[in-house]
Amino acid sequence: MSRLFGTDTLEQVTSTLRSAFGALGGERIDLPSVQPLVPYLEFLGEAYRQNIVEHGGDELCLCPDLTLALALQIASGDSPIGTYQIDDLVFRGSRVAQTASPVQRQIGVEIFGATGDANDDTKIVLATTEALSAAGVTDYTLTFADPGLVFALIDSFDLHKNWKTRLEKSFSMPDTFERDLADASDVSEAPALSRALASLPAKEARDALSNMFQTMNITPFGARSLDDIAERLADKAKETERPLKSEDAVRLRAVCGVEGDLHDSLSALATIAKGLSGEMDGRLAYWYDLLTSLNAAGLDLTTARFDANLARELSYYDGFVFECHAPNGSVLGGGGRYDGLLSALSGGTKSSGAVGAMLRPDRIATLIGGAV
Amino acid sequence: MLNIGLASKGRIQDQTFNYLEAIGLPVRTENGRSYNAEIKALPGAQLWLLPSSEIAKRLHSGELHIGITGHDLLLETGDLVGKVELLEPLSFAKADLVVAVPNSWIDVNSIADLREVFADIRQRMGRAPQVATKYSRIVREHFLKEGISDFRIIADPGATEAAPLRGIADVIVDITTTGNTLRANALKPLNDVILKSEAWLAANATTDIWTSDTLDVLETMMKRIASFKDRRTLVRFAPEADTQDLRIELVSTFDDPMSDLIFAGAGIIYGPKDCAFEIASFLQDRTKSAVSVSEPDLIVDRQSNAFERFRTALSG
Repeated sequence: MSRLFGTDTLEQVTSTLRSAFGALGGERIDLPSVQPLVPYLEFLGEAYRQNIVEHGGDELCLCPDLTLALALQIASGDSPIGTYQIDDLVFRGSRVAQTASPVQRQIGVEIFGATGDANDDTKIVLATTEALSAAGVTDYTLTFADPGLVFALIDSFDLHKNWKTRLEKSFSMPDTFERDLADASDVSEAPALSRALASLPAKEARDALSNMFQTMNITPFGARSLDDIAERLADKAKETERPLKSEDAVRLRAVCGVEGDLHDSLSALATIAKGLSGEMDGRLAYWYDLLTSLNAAGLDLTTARFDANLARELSYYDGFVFECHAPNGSVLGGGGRYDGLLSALSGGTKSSGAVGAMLRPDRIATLIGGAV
Repeated sequence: MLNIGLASKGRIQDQTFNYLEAIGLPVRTENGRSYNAEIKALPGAQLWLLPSSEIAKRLHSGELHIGITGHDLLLETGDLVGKVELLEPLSFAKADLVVAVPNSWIDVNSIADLREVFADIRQRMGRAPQVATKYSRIVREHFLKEGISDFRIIADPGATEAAPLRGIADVIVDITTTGNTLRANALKPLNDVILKSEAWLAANATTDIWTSDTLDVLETMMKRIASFKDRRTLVRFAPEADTQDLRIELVSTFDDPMSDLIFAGAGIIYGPKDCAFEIASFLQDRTKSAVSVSEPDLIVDRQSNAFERFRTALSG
């Protein structure tokens, strides 16, 4: 009986979530569970190598991420830019968790072609919170974050581009990020060869290296030419001249450490950003707009939180992100902005603002089933 | 029966058999080449002669209780935690697992350099950098730990070390001992070694495959290893000296190596061979009488610390 009851609850939750997200319009799109492996490896990294199927010489995988699956479909031209209703399974194996199911259903909506302001972001948050309350979930916490703030902050620094790139790339990998922060702050002198090449015009540097290679009987092959190597050697000397200033390292650590009440956190971020150039101001102005329009729509944000480290592992989020947590800490769903994803997947041939959210019907059903 | 996996061929088999003979557990095979083998001194053991990678797999699955195989193969087969216990390093089949890059990459010496160059290849070539290796599991874990997530593994490229010259990979990860094969293929190893590998005696660590009988056979074997490995110096000094005081002073003076001293009775200490002179001059200074040092062939009353750790791990 209890099992039958559970199934009923799940079905009710499922249809509630579908209609709540459905209010944002767009067609329901069926995303194939079996996906080509390579784009996931190339875009999300080798960590996603799992459940591999070989078929006719192709390496396939069970879909580990619906946002990426849809973005791939749009990048390849199979579907146009637009709003899509999502209701599909994702497969995420784990070597550690033996109790969690490797299969989960997600229901949500993705808006490709989203406006750059807070408008569509507001709609996404509201659709999510309305879906939760329609399903009967009242006791949950909304937590926000914004990797875009970190990128804007890094961008505002007077810092060599190599350090900027390294820090931006490693933000989604906290341990590596810490190491990069240390490396960028505490630079040691570049090797003599680097310094020598950096002091020469590019062509002379290249010729010098070419002579050196001849003497050493080395012939470059593969992906990196003599020019690439000469350029990087010279670059290594130049990057030591513009390291991360200690006050900027302090700012960066401070921004990564912001956590707590949403409004307090935004004040803290404004204090950190004081005296920095435009980009950070732009991000903070965006947050002011987002909170204003969420408030105007009647969303109660008094218990909302901010946690700079939220969703740090999902490398495609590049703007605001949010998660909904049950009282026991389990994540019921969430979403955010990923404006750079389509461009990255299509090699720059397509691009669009994008924002989306997903909820987990199984967890919601367990939560309200448990409460009854 | 204690199921023991030993190498079925190659240099590692010779080294394994030589080692077992040296510790007094010679392996007998029927007419030399046969896969039927036994160790007379271990009647409770069943030998399985298998390829080294198969030994690693069966140690993970529990089909073997113990086996001798490379650390690299054990790690490549799967996570060791809670599954496979490394009991004793055996000091043969030593090799380094390294990342090797084209020798023209004179600007790339560390894994941090590799990360930057990989990001550059991705950006310029519009594709993920490719890593040829037979060790895809170890490489994936290691690279992710080092902050490299954007790469492709070319899992079975044939002759791994030739893959970059053949244009089917940017770099390789492979085992090397002398570096000659790398040099012949215009490659050079990075300074950071991923794994210093050697042959280990390893055991499946799942409690339910072990019985008191199989544990007894393992204990016999490991006591022999401990006695063999622990070649010690015998130091004789004035038998009337106060051993208790000397022990406290020796341990505090020499710290680590001395934590392993055996006080065998009046005027006799067994200590690590490397420290013979230090121990002897210390005792001479304190007792003001002559101290003699000699080398016993074998000390057989030692327990095997590694075995005791394993037994504790199984019960806990």
